[in-house]
Amino acid sequence: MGTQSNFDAVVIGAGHAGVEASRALAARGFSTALITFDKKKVGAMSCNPAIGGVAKSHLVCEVDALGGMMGRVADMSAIQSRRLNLKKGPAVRSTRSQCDKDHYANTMSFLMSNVENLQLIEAEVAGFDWIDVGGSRKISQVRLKDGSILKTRSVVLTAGTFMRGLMFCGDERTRGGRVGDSAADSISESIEKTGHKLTRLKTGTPARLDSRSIDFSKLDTQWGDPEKRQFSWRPLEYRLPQLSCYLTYTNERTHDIIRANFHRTPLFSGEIQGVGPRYCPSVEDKIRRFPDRARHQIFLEPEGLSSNFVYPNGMSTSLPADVQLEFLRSIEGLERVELLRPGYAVEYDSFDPMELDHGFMSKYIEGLFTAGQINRTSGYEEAAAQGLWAGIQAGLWLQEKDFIFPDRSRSYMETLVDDLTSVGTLEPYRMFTSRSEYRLHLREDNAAERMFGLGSQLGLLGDDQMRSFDLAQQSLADSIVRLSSERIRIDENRVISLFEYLRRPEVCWEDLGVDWSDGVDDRVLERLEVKAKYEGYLSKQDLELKRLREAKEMELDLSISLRDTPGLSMEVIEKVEKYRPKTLLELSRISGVTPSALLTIAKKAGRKIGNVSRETLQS
Amino acid sequence: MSEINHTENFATKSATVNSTSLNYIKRLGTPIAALASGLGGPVAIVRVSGKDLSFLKQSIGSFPKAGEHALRKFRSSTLENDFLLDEVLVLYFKAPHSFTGEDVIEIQGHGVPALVDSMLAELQRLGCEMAMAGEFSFRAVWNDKMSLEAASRLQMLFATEGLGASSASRLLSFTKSHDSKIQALLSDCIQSTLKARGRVEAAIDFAEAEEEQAEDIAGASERVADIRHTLTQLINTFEVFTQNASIPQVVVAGLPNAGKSTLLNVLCGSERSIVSALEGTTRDYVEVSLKSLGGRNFKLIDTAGLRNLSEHSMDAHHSVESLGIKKGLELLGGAQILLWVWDARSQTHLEQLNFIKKSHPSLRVIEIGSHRDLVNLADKNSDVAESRVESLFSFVHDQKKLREFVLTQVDLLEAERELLLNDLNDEALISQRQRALLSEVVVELDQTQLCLNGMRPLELVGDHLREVEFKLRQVLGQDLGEDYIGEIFSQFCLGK
Repeated sequence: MGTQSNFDAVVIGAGHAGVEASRALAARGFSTALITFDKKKVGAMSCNPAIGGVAKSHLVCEVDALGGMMGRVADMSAIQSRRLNLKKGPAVRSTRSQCDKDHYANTMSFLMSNVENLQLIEAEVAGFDWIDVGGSRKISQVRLKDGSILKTRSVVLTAGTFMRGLMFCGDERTRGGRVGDSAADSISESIEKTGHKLTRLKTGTPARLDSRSIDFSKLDTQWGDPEKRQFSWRPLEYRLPQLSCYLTYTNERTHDIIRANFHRTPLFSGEIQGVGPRYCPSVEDKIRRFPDRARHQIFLEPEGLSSNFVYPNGMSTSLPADVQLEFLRSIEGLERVELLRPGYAVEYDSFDPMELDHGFMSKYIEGLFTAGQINRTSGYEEAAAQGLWAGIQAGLWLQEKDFIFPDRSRSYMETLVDDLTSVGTLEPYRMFTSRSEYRLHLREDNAAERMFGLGSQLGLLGDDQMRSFDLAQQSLADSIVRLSSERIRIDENRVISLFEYLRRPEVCWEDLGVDWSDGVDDRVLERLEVKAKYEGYLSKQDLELKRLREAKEMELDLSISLRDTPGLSMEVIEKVEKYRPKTLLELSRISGVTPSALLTIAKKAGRKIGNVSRETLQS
Repeated sequence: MSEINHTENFATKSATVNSTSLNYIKRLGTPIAALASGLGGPVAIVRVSGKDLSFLKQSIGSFPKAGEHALRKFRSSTLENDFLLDEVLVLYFKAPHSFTGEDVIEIQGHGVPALVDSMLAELQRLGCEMAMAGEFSFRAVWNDKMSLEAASRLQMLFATEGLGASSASRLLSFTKSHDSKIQALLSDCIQSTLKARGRVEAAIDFAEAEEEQAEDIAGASERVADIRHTLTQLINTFEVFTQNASIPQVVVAGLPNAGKSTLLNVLCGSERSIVSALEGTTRDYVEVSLKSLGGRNFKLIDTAGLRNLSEHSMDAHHSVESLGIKKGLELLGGAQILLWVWDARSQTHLEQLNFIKKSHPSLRVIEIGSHRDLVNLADKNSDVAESRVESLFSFVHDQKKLREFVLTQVDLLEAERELLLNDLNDEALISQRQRALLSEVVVELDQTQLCLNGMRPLELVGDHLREVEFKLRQVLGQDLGEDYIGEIFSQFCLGK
């Protein structure tokens, strides 16, 4: 017979989303339970051993600026860091860190088990229940398999690939969301009772190679950058020794082997029906879709300092283990490779994020929040950002406060939320810098500046973090003063300030000849340079932002039926009924809503614009 | 990473929202008034539109029946005062059978500025707002009385100065097939823009795939160049149309004292410009509206003498006059026909004429020789070629023949030009609004190339190409978010 206990919030799943959600709740004083199958796998990196990458590093920095865990733990676990896109402009510069996988999970487990107000529970969830209160359904409790009951007002579900998780390796089928772990089928059953429609998605992971069986001497080495860049503004406690990665390529023989075995992959037999991540396709998919490519790049990434596991990035597959070994051995450097574990595909249940509101709360059950991969995203960083968002909003809901509306101009995190909940997605969503219309403004270097206000307002930040941010701000201000007062002679007649000089496209901060020995952070100098160079572009975006906010004014009254409105297509009417936009702006964001449809709906359902009432609008 | 279709991931929203049409929408509940006719004529027409205009009865008494007119007294009555302002004709168009689709009252009064001002002030006192530019047309569109495309053409109609009748009716009868042609062209450009952006964004977002990046950037650059080519052609068609759509301008030019002003007087039948024997006395330019023998309207413009144009010899003494010469050259730029006057006694004008022809290749030229009575045409040594004899006149004795000759030549040249205009009928013709937007697009495309060439950060390509796509959608009227509606109407004049 199980026990009964009370929590303000229960977070189901301790992956990248669950960790951030539960920390955000606990940090704000809510008693929080974090339920995981295995306490040793808190924050486990189920697939590749890296954090960051283009646009993803931006998410990590934003999560960090809201007090999140990911950046800090990644900094402590990094064994190789690289900056990407250095020459393409300040906004798209990104950081990618290879991490020691075990160190990452261990550190995360350790830190999470020391968070105040947070209780880590090792258990399997049997389901959750709700009660009807005045016509609305509210979360009431979570049931565990051992019969225990956790009474709670809010649940954050971050089940990753575990809901009805099914792994495929050739014709082998294994229940579970990750190799060695079980599946969480009973949660899916609870969800289906709520009215949410679950959809199957697919993802995959490559085989793990034994480093002792790889001939590295034949391969190009890829070293990390000498200057290691951090994600977090918190002072770094320690730094691990650095390792290198290696580069190799598939060849025609590899492709032939894979092609000859197309019939043995469940992906092509129609057995796997879930849609997979387009930007992380399995190797058989790449060969089939791009038959003309002579080779595909493979990064061989070490999984840790004290590990023989090597992750072949770009080689995820659901082919049978014998085929995997065969095609891998056709690759240069891998001629004698041994597999420590074959790759596999996994199919799992996902929510339609359009059935969530912008607080990630279910539109059908109050107090039920979802985040991470089950919201149809891919990537650790995307999951972390969502977990944090759901944690923040669940806290606000517990306090009976309004949700924060996602502000696309503030962060990639909110762009992600807005995209998912207002446009939706049919395949696993990955973040790109091109998804943001405010790309120039949403940079790694100013992530803290963008998010700290929200973080401190919500009480998510520790003193150490506040202090380092204040120092950085002070240092930025000091540097501007310094550059504005120091002058440089550019020709016979003209002397300008260094700050003016920095505005020139060809000048970067390293060229100023200023002695920064008093320890100004690189990130501060980068911000300084952006400030000087992009001022015109940024002020244009600021003006447009102001106008955008004005356009949000008009509210829509959707108690009015749009059926039988002349000039409106059934498609548009159905979309409006499905997504229930509250404002003209939200309406305009639904795909397929043409300007004329917008005008027609505004005429019919526009409640008010500024101080004009709907009566005067109706003609 | 060209192998992946990256275009579906772009931010689907634009950062740009203009709120002009929100202003129109906000005022929908308010009655609006404006002067719909020009001032200075005998009659001024004030137009009022609103959902409920019964308040106007305080001023003009009862309304005539819907669709009819009646004579009324327009009174101005305040607490202190009550007096008759004007006797007016009132027309009543009842909703929805009006231009705006609302109730519309038209008040025709005397075109005396002070009276009109008082009338508008009284209307404001009664609760009318002064209409914003294009607000009447906006309401017509809002109430489905007019399509947006129609409004856009209408705007061009009003905006093109001195529009020829045939061009004006072409704009009014603009057919769907013209629009669909532009639609198809620009939709292709939008698709191509997306693809170009896709390749660049892939190079940014898949930074690890270094192998394909150079190819992606070169591919994008090629596309951008193609789009630019298509758009400049569209703009060019527009230029040709507007250049030819307006009433033709005939500029009279020639060396000083060749007889330009006399010719002008002959054509106009009265003394329009000062004629004197002093070289270069026509200091400013003079413009006269005339009709050709075939009944075509044209504008005749007299310029200052063109002396040594090719040498720019403009000394201080002649500064006033040189301003006139400069103006003359400017006028040539906007003209369709050059009426070149030369003195039959001398050939020195040829150098100047060739200079003009070379710098204005599209200009058609009518050459007129003066002082026929002072040269001996029988003299084989005379400089006058035989072929030119028929365009030689004595400006003193052959005035009737001279007049007929010029007016016939204008007809001949104009008939040619009308044919050219007809040829344009099948071409995709954009409106002025579209043309302005397309020019902005071309600027953005040039900026894009700078980024692709490495002169600017690559990440700015996203912003520039998004702007390109956005403006192209605006041209097509596909995006209300950017509020092209406000943009059309705000270009109208008041009262429209």
